[in-house]
Amino acid sequence: MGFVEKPRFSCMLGGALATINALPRVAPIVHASQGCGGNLYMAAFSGSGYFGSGYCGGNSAPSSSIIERDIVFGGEERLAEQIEATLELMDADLFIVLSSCMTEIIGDHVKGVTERFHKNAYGAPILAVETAGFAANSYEGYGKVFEGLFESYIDPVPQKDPRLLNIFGVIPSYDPFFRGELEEIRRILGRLGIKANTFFTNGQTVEDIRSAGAASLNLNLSSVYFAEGLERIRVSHGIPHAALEMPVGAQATERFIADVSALMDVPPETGDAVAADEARRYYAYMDRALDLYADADFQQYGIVVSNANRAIPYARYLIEEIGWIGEYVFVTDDLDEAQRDRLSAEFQKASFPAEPRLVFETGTDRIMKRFFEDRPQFVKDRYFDAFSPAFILGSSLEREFAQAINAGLLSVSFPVTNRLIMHRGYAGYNGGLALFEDIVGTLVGPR
Amino acid sequence: MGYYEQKAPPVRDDRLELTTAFGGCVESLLKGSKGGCTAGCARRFSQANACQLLLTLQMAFTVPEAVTVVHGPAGCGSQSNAAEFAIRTAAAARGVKRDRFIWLSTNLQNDDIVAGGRDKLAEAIRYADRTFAPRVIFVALTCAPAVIGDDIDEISADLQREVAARVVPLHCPGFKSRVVASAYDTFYHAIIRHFELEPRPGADYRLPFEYAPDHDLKEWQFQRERSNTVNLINASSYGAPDEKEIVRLLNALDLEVRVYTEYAHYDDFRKITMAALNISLCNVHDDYLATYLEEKYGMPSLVSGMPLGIAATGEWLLAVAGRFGKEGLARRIIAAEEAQLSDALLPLRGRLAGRRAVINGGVIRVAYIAIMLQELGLEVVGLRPYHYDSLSDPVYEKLREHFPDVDVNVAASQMFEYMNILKRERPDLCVSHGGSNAWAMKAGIATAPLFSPNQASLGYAGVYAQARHFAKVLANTALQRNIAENVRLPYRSEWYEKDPYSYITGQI
Repeated sequence: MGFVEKPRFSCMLGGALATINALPRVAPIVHASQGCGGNLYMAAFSGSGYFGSGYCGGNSAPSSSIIERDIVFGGEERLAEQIEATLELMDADLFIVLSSCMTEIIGDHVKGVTERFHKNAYGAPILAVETAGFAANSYEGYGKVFEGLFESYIDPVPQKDPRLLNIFGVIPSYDPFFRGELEEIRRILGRLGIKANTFFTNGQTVEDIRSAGAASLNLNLSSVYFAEGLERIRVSHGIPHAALEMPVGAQATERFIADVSALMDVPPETGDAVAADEARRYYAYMDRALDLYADADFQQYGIVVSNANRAIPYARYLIEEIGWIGEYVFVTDDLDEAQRDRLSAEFQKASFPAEPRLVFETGTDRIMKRFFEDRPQFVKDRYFDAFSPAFILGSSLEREFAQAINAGLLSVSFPVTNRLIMHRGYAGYNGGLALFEDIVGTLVGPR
Repeated sequence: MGYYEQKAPPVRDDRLELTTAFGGCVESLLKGSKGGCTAGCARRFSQANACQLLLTLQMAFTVPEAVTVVHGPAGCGSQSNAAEFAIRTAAAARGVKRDRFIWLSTNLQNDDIVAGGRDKLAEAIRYADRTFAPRVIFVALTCAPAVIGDDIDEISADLQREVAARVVPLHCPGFKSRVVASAYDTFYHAIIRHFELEPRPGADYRLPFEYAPDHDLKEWQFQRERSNTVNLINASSYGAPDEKEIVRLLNALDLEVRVYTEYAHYDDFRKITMAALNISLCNVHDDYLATYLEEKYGMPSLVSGMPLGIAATGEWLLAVAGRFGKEGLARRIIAAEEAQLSDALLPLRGRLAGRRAVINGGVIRVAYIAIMLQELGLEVVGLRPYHYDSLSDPVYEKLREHFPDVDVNVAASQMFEYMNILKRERPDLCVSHGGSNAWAMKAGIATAPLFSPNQASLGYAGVYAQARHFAKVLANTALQRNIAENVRLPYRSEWYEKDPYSYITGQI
């Protein structure tokens, strides 16, 4: 994988930090140069619609802040000192030590040092995860933390709870609406009689992490990330896993309900009843929006620019839910061949009516150029089939692209720098409505 | 200095007496610094912070028509999304054309750490040149490739033969320095070694033929322009309103001003040596560049504190005027400005008097803000400079005169010490560097950002703007109260019983 213009992801340590920052009362101990913790936090913060420091993230995150001397002589003693002081000082339910590029290069044995503190005066559980920045990107860092938790913190439970599942594949910060999305998915599953561990939403505690071993399904809402990790967890903890697309809007969520019902042995009638009830409410809201939408004809030519987790769900929403003309779906993650194949297969499966182009492209400039290759900006003909009215569902980096083609832009994908995101999410029924509100809100913004 | 010939600049940790960990009064800090007893101070517990890469990139990003290649894994530089808006608006406020904001990551992976990242870097430089046709390509070195031995100077020099842009290496691996301020030296070192700093005859100045009738007049005009122009060295922590205010004051002294180094175009740098004086706005920012220009070109420089606060602005202006024999004019300006400001401050004074403040941020700025707060009638109960080095001594000697007993906590963020101090002192106001304000708010205290790109903090305009700002944030602290009642800080309760400096080691 080559160089990347303005990557819309960070490194493995960055993903691990963002993940831990979203876990309730869990503290990281970063074994790295002083800048890693602060800079990577800032990356996640500014790109996620300002998901803040929380309990002990940002510049409150404990960091060994190794210096050149430690690089030369080894950083293990400095780490031991930092762990000891952190346990003494910080009030957290779980501590996770993270390694970094430098400490992996010099060969610090982070897990070994951490083991010395397994028995500590505070009874605080502590584990270590190896997260060299160069080892993988931030999405993998998320998986690495959960693999570490299953390895050292979550006990295998032989007797599974048939109504409990764990949700994976929604990556804090790098999926900027993760809180709202998880809350909505949990709400819908709750209506089906299914309990869901989201790990990150309000009300979740370390007990939910600990009890994750009793789940009867690991539901992965990503078709690209964390599948290998979940396979290892299936072997170690006996929890089967399945991947489903993140549903956005009524049509997709109805399918999601049917799929998840089948996986969790929920009677189909229950699922149908829930979907019908939700759809009634959903379309009652949509009904009221039509006077504005139809008179103005807000149907647009749509472009989606998003990560591997959300590109297809957003495209589905535009095309299958609100009937836009979907032309391009750009996937901005740095994917290997196998991951691309998986995503392409999913895209084929979607069988869109007028098939949009699926393009794998990480660079902001190249995305724009790819578009103009197909569609010259200036045509001398008096009559031509212009790409207008256009709308981009992308990141804040698409500002220039949107200006160039005079398109509307709603930033929904990392980095989202021009919005504050709190409990908003675009998943499920409520998310579909919120997305419609925000898209149309952009279009009526100048009024 | 002899540093300028080397590929990489020395970090401040090596060239100065420097510390990032200290707690005590100004007197003992000064004693420790001068006695060489502060450098060994460290912490048993520390918290995440930024590194010199962050600030080096921020400085590089300000250069128009430049593209920056961050040579490292994808995480290094990924914080730059936060900088884009700030730099775009700051450039616009200065009337600088800065249409695209482009940086690349070489996205180093496992294999590159084993085999070296040379090819990837070369490919990225070629792509940047071909695609964006920039004037400058900065190449920023991060920790991992620095340790495995990628020689960015050699790679840059090789690539220079095939690309049109000037390829400029920046040596900024985070682990090399404990202080973010080393970034100034890094950036200036790159400018010194790779930018053109001398005017080109014909392009930058034109003298008529020696026997032309107006030769003497033109010659005089040229010399006069040179002897009447000063370079003002800016920094990311000064906004466009700051520059405007300082330029206004210098113009009042009948001096022409060119502003460097941020937001200056590569081609503008040729004129940097066509000035009579280099003026720095901070003791710890610019000595590396100023010393070079002095040694190489015989240009005098003025590093005389910050023009922040009423008296300090006057002193600074007098120091500049003194170099041009214009003290009389300066005194008249100061008298007029102070009279006008003093009237304007009257209605605000009542809202500020007796309020207690803690200040947290850059070493020189916090000292000047402390003195300004005293001028405004507030009481300063704590000072938290990010680092302390021997360049700061003159300013802290002055600070000692104003606050012999004030508590100084040298700490780059280190929120645990901050929270302990806030619980202890219960100040009314925290003036804090970005990244720390939210924590002060969680502790229930009114906060004002240490500096802001949209509001002056320097000069007389800065005093008024800040006084107004402090009065505003003190006027309603409902949010702070509600947050403090409902949000928990992450420390065990025993921590607040302990001395805030209990985790500092090596302090004598």
